[in-house]
Amino acid sequence: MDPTLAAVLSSWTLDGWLVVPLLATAAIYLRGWFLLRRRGAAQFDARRLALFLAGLAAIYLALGSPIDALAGFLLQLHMVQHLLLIVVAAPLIWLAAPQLPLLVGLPVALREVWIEPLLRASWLRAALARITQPTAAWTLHVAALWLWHIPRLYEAALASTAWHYVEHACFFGTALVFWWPVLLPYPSRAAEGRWYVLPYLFLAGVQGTVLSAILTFSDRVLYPHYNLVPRLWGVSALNDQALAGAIMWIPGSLAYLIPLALIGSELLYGKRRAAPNNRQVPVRKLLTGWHALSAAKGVVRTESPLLACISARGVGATKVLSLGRISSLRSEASFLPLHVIDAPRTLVRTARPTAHPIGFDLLSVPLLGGFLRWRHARLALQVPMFSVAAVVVLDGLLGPQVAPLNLAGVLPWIHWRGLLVLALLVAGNVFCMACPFTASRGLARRLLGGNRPWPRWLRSKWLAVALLAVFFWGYEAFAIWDSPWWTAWIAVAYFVAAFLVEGLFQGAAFCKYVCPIGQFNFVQSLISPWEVRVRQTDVCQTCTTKDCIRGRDNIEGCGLELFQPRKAGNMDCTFCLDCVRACPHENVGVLAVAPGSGLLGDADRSGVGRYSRRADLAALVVLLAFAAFVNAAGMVAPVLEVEDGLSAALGFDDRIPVMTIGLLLGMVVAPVGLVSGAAWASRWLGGRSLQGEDGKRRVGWRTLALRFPYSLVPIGCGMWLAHYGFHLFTGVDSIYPAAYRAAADMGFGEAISVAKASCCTAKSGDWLLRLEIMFLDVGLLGSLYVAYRIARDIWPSSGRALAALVPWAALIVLLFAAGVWIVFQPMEMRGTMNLGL
Amino acid sequence: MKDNSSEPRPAFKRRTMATTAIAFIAMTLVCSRALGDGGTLRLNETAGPYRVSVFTSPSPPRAGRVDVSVLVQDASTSAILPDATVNVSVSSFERPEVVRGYVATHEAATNKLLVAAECELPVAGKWRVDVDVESQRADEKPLADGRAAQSNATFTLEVGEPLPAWWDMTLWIGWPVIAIGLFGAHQVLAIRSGQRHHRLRHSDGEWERTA
Repeated sequence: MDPTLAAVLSSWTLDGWLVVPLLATAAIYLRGWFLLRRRGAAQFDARRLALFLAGLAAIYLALGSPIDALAGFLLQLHMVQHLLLIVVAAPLIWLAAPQLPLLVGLPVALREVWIEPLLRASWLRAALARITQPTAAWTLHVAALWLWHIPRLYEAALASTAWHYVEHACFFGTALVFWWPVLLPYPSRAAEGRWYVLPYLFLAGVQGTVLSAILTFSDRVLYPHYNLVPRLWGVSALNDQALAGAIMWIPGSLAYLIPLALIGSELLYGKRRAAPNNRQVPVRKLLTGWHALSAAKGVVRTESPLLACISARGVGATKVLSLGRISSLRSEASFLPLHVIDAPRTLVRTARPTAHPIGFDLLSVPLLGGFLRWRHARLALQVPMFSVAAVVVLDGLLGPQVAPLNLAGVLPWIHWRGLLVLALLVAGNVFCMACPFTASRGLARRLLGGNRPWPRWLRSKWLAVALLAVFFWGYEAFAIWDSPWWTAWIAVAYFVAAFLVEGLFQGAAFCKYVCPIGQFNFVQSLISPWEVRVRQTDVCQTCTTKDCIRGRDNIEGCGLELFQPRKAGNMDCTFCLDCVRACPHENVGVLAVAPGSGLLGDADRSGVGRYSRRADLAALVVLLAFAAFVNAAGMVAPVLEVEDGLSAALGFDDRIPVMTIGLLLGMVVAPVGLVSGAAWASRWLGGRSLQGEDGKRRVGWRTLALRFPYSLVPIGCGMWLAHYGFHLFTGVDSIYPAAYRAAADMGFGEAISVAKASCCTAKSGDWLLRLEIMFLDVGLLGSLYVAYRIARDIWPSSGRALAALVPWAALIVLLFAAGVWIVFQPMEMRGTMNLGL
Repeated sequence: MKDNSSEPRPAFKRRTMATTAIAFIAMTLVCSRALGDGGTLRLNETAGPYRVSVFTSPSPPRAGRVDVSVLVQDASTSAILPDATVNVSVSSFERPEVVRGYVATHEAATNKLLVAAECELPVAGKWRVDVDVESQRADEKPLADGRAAQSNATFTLEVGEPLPAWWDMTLWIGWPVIAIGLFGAHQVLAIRSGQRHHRLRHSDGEWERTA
């Protein structure tokens, strides 16, 4: 193949900003199409799917193929690019009737919570109605074409990437508006006849011809850019312009004339084959297919098929009492907006299905579900983790005390921490599930009795809070991360403590009241997308044995005192799945939940109680949130320089005193002060009293100080992810030199040279920094949302809630800003250093 | 009780959910990128047997990483020479003794007709950029020692002060503001929608919209 042609053909781009939205749109459409097909919507056949995908492919062809790469050199290719967007992609997408599939394909929560209110907005509907009227649509389309072909604007688009985006968006957006009155995608229908399409398309063709002629017959190059760029294949700039005009003229005109001819023929002679009788209302066909009920005078009671198919669990699960606009049903022009939008939410009753679980159940996944239900599943996970822990301890005690060359210096502080937070984000508390420290629980109980109740005065998180604070201090004071020996002894202490506590006391006291790692996991798992919970509460109501908490047949019940019917959220849940195995009705699953749902509400949670009455829990949450930032800040160069400077100024030989003061300020004084201040300000702004059903009730400062801290979990988790993720991705290769060295010490193989940080090149630094910022961004949004929900929960009035939200939002934004500053600072590359062996 | 059910709603006849799909689909274009144009044209001249065109990106160039893309053509036929070997060297006018050299490759270029090199220009000011081209095809007569003909093109690039590191990440840091704005708008719409619908009455098991 000619090298030039080969170079051209290989000039495709896989730009994420283009590919990801296209794929996401395709996935949403595909899902909606599939769901509609399953419900008998024959209108959505394979042809429509193919049309939609072809439309998206046309967009990619325009923007990601060599056409885009060469558009800056050849005006004719630039013209092809624009024509792909205007006369290929836009009509293909409308022909696919994307409204219903795209809506149905969205997740239910997203559609009902976010999209529906938007669609109900009268101003939006009025605006969209206006721009899709033929006159307005035609004007917008033609105006966009002519404006962007003005040399000054065209040149601006060629010179600036941003303006190029705007140009493409204008072309495609106005093309969608233009083609809508022509194609009227299902379920739309013209108010009057479609005769307007004939002059509509004809005049569009005329203006296209005029513009094309200007380009084709001009005796000078209209766009100086093409005079400056190198000419390819001997095509002069003027010839290139003429060819571009010809391309716009002929294919462009055909794009208008062909539908004109087809529609004109249809109007004159009728359709060749029976089209769906619009008077019969495809909507009504859909309705009768799904339990349509009788229409009373002026009122229609029906089960909206749309709501049936977009409800949580299919036909029959949702009943809607429509607002009775029969004409709207019969006009089928937009039954969708009416039934979806006009039916008030209070009319929508969703009956919880009895045959299907709520949300996706991980236990229903083949193989995985079977494994998780296996009574020895936890042990099967704990054994390898125990083995790894044993190797870490041995190497830490016996190996060289050089952290990058020791498994105890690498595995816990780089790999395990990073994987821990990632697993919490995507899966849940899997590390507690596989915890090696409690693997010997059975043995410990046999040896030590295990029948003592945990002391009442210790039945809170205060002990765990203290241990966490001590750990964070010791981590920095003794540079535990840099000491395999200390790391090994901490692991040993953990095993001993777990053995003693589990052996002496009932239940899972070590997990619930002692283990610092467990507390970290509990708090972060409040935003996990999975939760161990009952499938159907009505099953639990008839259960008399309560085996989920009591156990049965040598299967233990929940040792953390979590009674499944009243359990809410992942707090205190170790994902041991004892409740799953103990439940005789198989009514406990690992269900998908909205991330962060465990942070909301003040229900009386089993084993936890009400958040508003647990100062120890709030303290734990606040400590972990602030520790995320303090811990990360303690590793960045500017902070270390300040520490060293203060130590020298104050005459200290080492940094421990200054570091201790810094930690006290950062993890105790500042959190207490900020949270207290925010609670006080919130109470002042939102109002101290609320008009409740039983008269006024006061909003206590303590209630606010104990409820709102849960809104800090997402931003705190974002910082943990950014920090530990940074160390994981930059130091993932560090396991090799440590492992090879350990193997060599044991006589297996040879040691290798230490690899430097694998990801810290200029290029990888870009994506890693973006990832860190993205974690913080998502954490910011999550925290703001949770704070908003808590505020609305306490103050039903939106105005007061917003006012009360301000101090907490300020605190969250402050933490976010701190996190952004931290990720931009150079960080100590722990666990990775260049050495020669 | 006024029965509005028989009254058509003209606005609805064109007010379809199709327009909401515009938002979804247009989003793909908002996120699109115009790649492959090589950047700003800095040089387009004949150098020996070659026609050399040099583009730089970003525009304006700032201290830090600058992409230099080169298109090599046969000066006499304008044929593109995709096999040409292109070396780019940069040196600051303030420290001309420090020269950084880069090999331009097709892999680094989006448009594979060009070759590109990512050059590090660490300080602001004037930089000399030399582009050395060598290709077997451009000149049928090799040099006396048998090597293929070489050519050199040079231009001066004015490099500005670097932007703050966070500047490049402005969009990444700031997009939550857009999300917050959208959420605020959503909440306003939801509240108004709830206020409108709370006028419903329940009478004898039938639901009706009140006037």
